[in-house]
Amino acid sequence: MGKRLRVKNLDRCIGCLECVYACSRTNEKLLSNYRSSITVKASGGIERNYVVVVCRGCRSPPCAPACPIPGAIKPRQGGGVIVDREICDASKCNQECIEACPIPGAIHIDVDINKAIVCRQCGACVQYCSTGVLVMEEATGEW
Amino acid sequence: MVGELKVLYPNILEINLSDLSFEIYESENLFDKYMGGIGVGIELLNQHLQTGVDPLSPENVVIFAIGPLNTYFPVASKTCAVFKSPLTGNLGESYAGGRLSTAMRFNNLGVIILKGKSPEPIYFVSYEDGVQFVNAKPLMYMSPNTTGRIIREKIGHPGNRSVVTIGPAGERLIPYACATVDRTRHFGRTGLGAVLGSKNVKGFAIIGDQPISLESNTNYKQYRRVFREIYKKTTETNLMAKYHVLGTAAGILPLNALKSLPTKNFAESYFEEAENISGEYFASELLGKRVACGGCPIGCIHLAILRERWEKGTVADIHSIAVSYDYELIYALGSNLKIGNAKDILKLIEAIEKEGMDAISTGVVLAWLAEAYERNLISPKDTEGELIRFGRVDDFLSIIGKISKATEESELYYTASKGVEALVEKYGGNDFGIRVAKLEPAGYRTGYYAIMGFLVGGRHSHLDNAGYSLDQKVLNKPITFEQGMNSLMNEEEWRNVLNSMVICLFARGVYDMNTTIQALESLKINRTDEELLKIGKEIQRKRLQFKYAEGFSLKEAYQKFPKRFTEMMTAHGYLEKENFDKLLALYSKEAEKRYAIKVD
Repeated sequence: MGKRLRVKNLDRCIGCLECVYACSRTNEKLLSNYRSSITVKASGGIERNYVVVVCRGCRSPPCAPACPIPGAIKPRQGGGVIVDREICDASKCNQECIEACPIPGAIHIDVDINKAIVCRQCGACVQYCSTGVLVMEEATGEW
Repeated sequence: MVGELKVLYPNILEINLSDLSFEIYESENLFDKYMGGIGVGIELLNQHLQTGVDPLSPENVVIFAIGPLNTYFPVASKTCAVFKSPLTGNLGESYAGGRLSTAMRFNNLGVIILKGKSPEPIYFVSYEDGVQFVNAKPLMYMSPNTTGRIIREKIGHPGNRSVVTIGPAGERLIPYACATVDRTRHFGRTGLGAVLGSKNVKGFAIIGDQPISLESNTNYKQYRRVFREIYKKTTETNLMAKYHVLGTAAGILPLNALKSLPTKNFAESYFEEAENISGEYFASELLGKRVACGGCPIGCIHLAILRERWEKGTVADIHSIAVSYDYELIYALGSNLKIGNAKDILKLIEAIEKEGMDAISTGVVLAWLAEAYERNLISPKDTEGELIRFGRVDDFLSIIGKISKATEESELYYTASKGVEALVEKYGGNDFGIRVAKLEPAGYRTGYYAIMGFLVGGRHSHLDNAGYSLDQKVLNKPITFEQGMNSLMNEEEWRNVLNSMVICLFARGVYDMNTTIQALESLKINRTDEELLKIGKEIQRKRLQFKYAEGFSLKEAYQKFPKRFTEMMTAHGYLEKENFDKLLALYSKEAEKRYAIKVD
């Protein structure tokens, strides 16, 4: 079974954004803070902790069955989903995947290409997290 | 849309504040010819600034520039600001981190040029499609951080923005006012805050989230490989370890042990209470968290949590604030003022932060005042009844605001608000007036090269050529004066290259010549060793040319050396005037040869 991404030590985040860039560099061939499946932001001033927003890799992902376009979002073995970029088309739906996901920001629509952007559990970000916030783990939790 | 993003060289945003207009245009071959950062900055300053203008007049020009490596590579996280300095009267140059360089990158801006003066206080916001000017009159005299918070709430876009602000000191044109970037970073040195204040710019924000195609702008495979190598060098070797563990404050104890930690206005070089203000002490007792600039996995920004009980409060009347500390602040507001309590240093940092002043300059001004007071050069009448004594934090806390808010009626504090040079001109005390070429120095009493580095450096900063570092390197490996001065000049030229990229100089060990060339090559910028060195030298020639055209006199700056420089015990023993004379002569001869300009 494949591993999935876990935000294990959020309190250690220093806000360097290397995970954000690693995701877009690896998966999109882009240098971007926007076309990335991970968002890092401050949670009310720099004195407070950072927030890392990313897909939680559910084994029964609510986004997949909510999608009205057949085959656009498929559950991934080991947790999470895979978006088929050939099929996904946000201009032909009401962004039901975002509505179905209880974590705001875990899925977003890139308005330039009209596709859902969501983590595919590749782990590229983990290699560039210098403080051990992000890890890849076997899915053992109930979700 | 991404397919169309073939931008390697970003745009120039030119703002004319006088009529609140702006223009965004292509940089064409500017970055090809001058790399970026200081290379582009000094070129544009020469193009846009008339010689001899008042630095606080609308005619002054501010250039912000990033370079080719920014955001593409780890620790290439700085932005370069170039302007005419109101403090030194010549080259104003300062670097800041935060998220400014990444925000500019994702806004596709390589350069921001500010000209003229806004009729009223404003801040401006650069969006992808243009600039909005916002009335900042209701924000006048707010602290940099309150201003920043308000701007952030107004503009939104968390995570994709950077906000630069000034405080009351900038608005009151104090020539060592700083500009604060994203709450904890600063364009500290040489007075950018006052120049922005003189232009009625209370702050600005850059919002950027445009993706950049790595397929069109890089040799993608090579880029990923070089990125990985640099990342590993940054995080897995000891090249930068000191910065993330204790931060720059790690330097306090070693420099103290070397008899090189400026203490009591540079009169002493060893502080008996150094352990209580060391990086080790701060980390174990006060450090709350570390944070990082955008695109830097190090996280050298050390935030201490200062818990303060209210005056006359109960045990529960307490508040906590986060204060960022660094080596230079601990020297300037600690050992140099004989403050041996870490919490007291944090209180001073916070007080200065609220006014928006450069902490190094402010600390050295406070030290001069304390010494002048001790020597009765200034009287209680001058101080308006305030006591100004070394080692007394409350004395200093009560005059920081007086300096920031001083009007001409309050002669001493008004003069102090102009810097140590102004104090010496008015009250005397040159012997202990610690400044080099009008700039209050960073905290190193290491030997000849630290002092000479301040003097001959393009912006008179310790970071120009790292004389303090050379002093330490040659402790057990003596070199000739000629070798020493050559080494300083080579270092400054190489730093011009790094400051064109624009990397954080803390990563200078990571970005050696070969690594820099490979990083550039992966971005399809092919440069040889010789070409880079030539660029560094050419930038140095232009920086010096700018200074001398603006009336800088090396001889005059040298003649004003405080006597203390030759009375100082340092890591290299006492320094002698004859040796300074020799070093200066060697420098002048070599500089004229290298840069083909008259250096005197």
